[in-house]
Amino acid sequence: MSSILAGKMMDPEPNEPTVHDWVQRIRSSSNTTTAQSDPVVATICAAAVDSLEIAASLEASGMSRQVVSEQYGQPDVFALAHELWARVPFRAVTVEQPMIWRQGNISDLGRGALYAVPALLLVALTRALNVEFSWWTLPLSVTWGWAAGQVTAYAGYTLRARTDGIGERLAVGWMLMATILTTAVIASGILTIVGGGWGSFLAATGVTTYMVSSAILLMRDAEVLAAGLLGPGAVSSVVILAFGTGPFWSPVAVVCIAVSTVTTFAAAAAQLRVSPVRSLILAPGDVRMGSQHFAHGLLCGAALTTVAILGSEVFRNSDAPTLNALPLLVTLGVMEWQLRSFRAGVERLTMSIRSIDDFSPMAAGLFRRALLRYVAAIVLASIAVSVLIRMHDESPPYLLLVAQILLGVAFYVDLTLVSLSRLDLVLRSWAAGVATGGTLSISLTFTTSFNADAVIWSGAVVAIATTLAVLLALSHNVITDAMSH
Amino acid sequence: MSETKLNKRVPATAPVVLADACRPTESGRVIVVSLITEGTYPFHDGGVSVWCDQLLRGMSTYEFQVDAITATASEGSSWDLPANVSAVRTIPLWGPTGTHRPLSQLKPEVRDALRWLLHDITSPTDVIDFQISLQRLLPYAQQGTLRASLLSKEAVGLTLDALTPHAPTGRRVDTLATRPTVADAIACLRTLEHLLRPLCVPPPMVDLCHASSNGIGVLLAMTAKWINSTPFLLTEHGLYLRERYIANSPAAIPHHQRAFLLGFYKQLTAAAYQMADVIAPGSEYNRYWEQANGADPAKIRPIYNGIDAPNFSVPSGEPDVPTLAWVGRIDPLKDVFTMLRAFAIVRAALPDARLRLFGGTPKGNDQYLRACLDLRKHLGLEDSAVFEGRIPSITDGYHAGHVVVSTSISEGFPYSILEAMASGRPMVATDVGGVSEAIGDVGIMTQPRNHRAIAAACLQLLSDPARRADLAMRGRKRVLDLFTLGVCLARYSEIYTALTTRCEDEAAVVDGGGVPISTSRHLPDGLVGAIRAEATAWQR
Repeated sequence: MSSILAGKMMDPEPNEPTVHDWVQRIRSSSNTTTAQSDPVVATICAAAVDSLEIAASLEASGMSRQVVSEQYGQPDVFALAHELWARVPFRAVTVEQPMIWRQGNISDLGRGALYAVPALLLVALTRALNVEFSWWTLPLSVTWGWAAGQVTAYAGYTLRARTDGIGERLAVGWMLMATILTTAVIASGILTIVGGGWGSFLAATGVTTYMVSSAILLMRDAEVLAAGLLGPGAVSSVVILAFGTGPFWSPVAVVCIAVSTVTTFAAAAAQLRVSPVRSLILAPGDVRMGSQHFAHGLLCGAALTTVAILGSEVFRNSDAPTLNALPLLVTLGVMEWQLRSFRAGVERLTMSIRSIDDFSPMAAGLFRRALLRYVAAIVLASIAVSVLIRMHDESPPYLLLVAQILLGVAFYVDLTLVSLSRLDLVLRSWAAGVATGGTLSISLTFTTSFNADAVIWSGAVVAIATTLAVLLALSHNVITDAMSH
Repeated sequence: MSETKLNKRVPATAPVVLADACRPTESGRVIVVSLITEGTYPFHDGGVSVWCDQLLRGMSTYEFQVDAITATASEGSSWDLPANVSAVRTIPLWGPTGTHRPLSQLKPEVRDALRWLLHDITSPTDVIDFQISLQRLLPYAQQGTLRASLLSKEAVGLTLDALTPHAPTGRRVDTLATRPTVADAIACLRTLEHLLRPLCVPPPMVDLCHASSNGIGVLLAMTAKWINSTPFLLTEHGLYLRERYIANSPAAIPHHQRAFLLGFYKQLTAAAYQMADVIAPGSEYNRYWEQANGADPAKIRPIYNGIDAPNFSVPSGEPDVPTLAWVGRIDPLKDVFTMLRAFAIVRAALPDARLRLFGGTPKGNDQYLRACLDLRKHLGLEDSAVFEGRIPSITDGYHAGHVVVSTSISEGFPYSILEAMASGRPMVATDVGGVSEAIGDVGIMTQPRNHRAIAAACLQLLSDPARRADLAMRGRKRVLDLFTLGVCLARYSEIYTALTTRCEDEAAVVDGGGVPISTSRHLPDGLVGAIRAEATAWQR
C-alpha cells in the first residue's frame, strides 16, 4: 500500500479527486472514522506525528497559504492542519519492515561451492596435464587470493552502500589489476628464490585472478552468471577426479577449465572501470579497514593452506590433496547458510520482542543452534571422507580431519563476528592463536626431532584451536548484545 | 586550566588549511566566521551552494572556515574555494567509525541525561529542556564515550521506555500503534548516534557561527555558543523540518521510529531558533514555519537571495514559434507532470507550441524521468516537448521561451525565478514557498498542481505580446531593484558587524573577570576550558 500512497501524494491523475476533495470530505463528515478510510487522508492526517506534519503534507499537495485562506477560511495552512489534527483520530499505519538478512536456504550451498571451486580446478588441472606444480603454488594463490578477495568485497560493498557506483567499479577494478600484478611479482620472486616452473607461476596467478573475479561476480549479484561460467570447468574437474584422466577427457577438461577461468575473469572485468581514477574517493578510515580485511584474509588463507595442504604432506595418503580438504570445502555453503539463518533469526527476534532482557538468552540460543548445525555438517562430511579413504584401503588421517573440523568451526565463528563488524576481535583471536602456535613450533623445534612439516603443522593446529577458543570466548558478549546486530 | 581529558579520536577530518588572503577590518582584527553547511557547499551543487559561494566571495573582508556536515567525508569538492576561506573541515555523519564495543553499564549521570534526552524527543515539551539534555551529554561526546553509551543495552531499555506511548499526546486514537519492539529502539538509537556526531568534534573557535540551514549542523553552532558564547546566525533557504516531514512518510518508516526521528528534528530545529541570535530566512514564507516552530518573531530578519543581474542579458527577440521554457532539475518537487499536462492543453489550443525543458536529472531520479517520458508519450507530446538536459549557459534556457514556467510544489526563494526575470522573460509560476514574494505583480501566479490554471496563464501570455513585454520589463526592474547580490550581501554585512561587535563587547567583559554570557551552567567545571583548549589546538 505504501507505494500507492506515496504515488498518489506525488502524482494524482488530473481527473482524480484531489487533496481538496479529501479535506472537504473530512470537514463535512460527522463521522471522521469513515472519512479517513480513504488512504490519502489516512496518510496525511491520521498517522501524522503532529499537526506540523499535516501542514507539510498539505503544502506538498498544493495547498498554499492563499488557497487555504480562500477555500477554507483559515488564516494559514497551520490552522487548517491543526483543525484536521483535532478532527481525525490517530491511526497507525502498519509498515512492513524489509529484512536486511534473508533466511539462509539450500541455495547457499551453491554459493559456497563457488568459493571451493578454485582448489578443485587446480587439482583437476594438475591431473589432466599430468604436471606437478611447485609446492608453493596453492598456498600462495589461496592465501593471496583470499586476502585480495576480502579487500575487494569490503571496498565494493562499502562504496555501494554510499551509492557511489562509479567508485565501486573503480575500486574493484583496481583491486583486480593489483591482485594480478602483485601475484605475478610474488610468484616470480618465489620462482627466482625457491625455484619451480613457469607453469606454477601461471597457475598461481590464474587461481588468484579467478578467486578475485568470482568474488567480484558474487559481490555484483551475478551469482547465476558466475555459476554458469564455472559450470564447464567444475563438471570436467569432477569427471577427471572421479574417473581419472584419458586421451579424450584430459584435453577436454583442460580446455573447459581454461574457458571457465578466462570467461569468469572477462565477466568480472566487463563490470569494472579503471578510469577516471580521481573519481575514486575514499573516506577517512577506509584504508585502515581495508588493511584489516587484507590481514584477515592472509591469516585465513594461511591457516587453510597450512592445515589442509601441509597436513596432507604430514599424513601422506595417495588421495590426500583431493579428499583430505573435502570436508571443509563442501561445507563452505553450509557455513553461509547457517550464518544467514542466524542473522535473519536475530533480526526477526528484535522485531518481535519488546523487552531487551529477553534478547540475550534467545540470541545465544540461535547462535548455538546455527553453530551446532554447521558442526554436524562438517563432522558428517569428515566421516564420509573417512569412509571413502577406507574404501581405498587406506587409513584415514583422523588428526587432519579433526584439525579441519576445528578450522571450519573457527571460520564459522570468525565469519559471524566479521558480519557483526567485529573484525578487531577476530584479528585479536588470530593473533593469540598465531602467538601460541608459533611458541609451540619453536619449542618443538628445539626439544624434539620432528621434521619441519610436522612442527609447523602441529603449531598450526594449536594456533587454530587457540583461535577458536578465544573466538568463542569473545563472541558471547557480541552475540548477546542487541546493538551489535 | 582543567585536567578534563578530551577524546583525540573525534570523527572529523583535520581542517584543510588554505591560503589566507582576507583583509583585516578597520579595527585591525580579522573576523573569523564559521560557515556551517550540511550536504551542500563545497561538495555538492545546488541553490544553497550557489548562495554559499556568493557569500564567501562577497564578504571578502572576513575570514571563513567552512564546517561541512557530510555523509562519509569521501565527497569530492565541487567548488573552487575563494582565497578568504582559511580551512574546510568535514564532519561525516555516516562514515566509518571506531569499532562498537558493548558497554556493560552506563554511568549514572549519563543514564540520567540520556533518559531525559529520550524523553524530550519522544514527548516534546520545552525546547530548553532538550538543550539542557544535550548539554549534559556534551562532556561525554567530547570525551568520546557518547557513542558507546548510546549503543549500550541500557540505552535500548531507556529508549523502549521512552517510546512506550502509543499515540501522539493529546489526540484521539482510532488505532493504536503496536508497542515498540527492540528493533524500533535499536533503529532509533543508531540514528541518534549518527545525528549527534557533530557534538563529538571540537566546536568552531571563531567570532561568528553562520549556519546555512537549520538541521544537524546547528549542533556545532550551539556547542560553540555554550562553550565560547560565539554568536550564532541562522540562515534558512528551504525549511529543514518541513523537508524532513515530507521525506519521512508514514508509509515508509515504522511509526515509533518515525515519531522519534521527527521528534528529534522538531526539537533540534526549535532549539536552533531559540539559540540563534538572528534568524535570516530566505523569504517571508519561511518566517511562518519558523514561528510555528517556536521562533521569536523579533529575531527573524528575512534576507532575499540576490543574483548578479548584469550577467543576465535581455534578448533582442523571441522564438519563432510559441514556446514555453521550463528550467530546473527533474525532480518530483518540481512537478514536471503538471507542466506536461498543462502543455498538452496549450498545445491543443496552439498546435505549433513547443515546450523546452532544461535541467539535469539528479542521481536517484532516473525513475521519475522515465515516468515523465512515459507521460509525454501518453499525452502525444513527443515531438513538441523536449527534455534538453543541462546546458552550458542557463540564460539561453530562459531566452528559449516566450514565457518561463515554474510548476514546483515546494520552493524556498528560487534563483531560477530571479534569473528568468532578470533575463527579460515573463513568468508563470505556482504559488509555493517564497515564489510570490519574488514575483510580486510582475508575473502570473497559479495554484500548484493545477495544470488547467497553469495552461490558462500560459495561453494568456502567449497570445498577448504587449502584456508579455510589460511583465518582462517590470520583472527585470524588480530584480534590479530588490534582488541583487549587492543588496543581499549588504544585509549580511550589517548582521555580521552587529553580531561580531557585540561579541567583542562581551569578550571585554569576560576578560575583565566576568563569566561568558551564554556559557551553560550544565557543563561541568573545567570542561569548558578543556574543550576550548582542544578546539584551539585543532584549529591550529
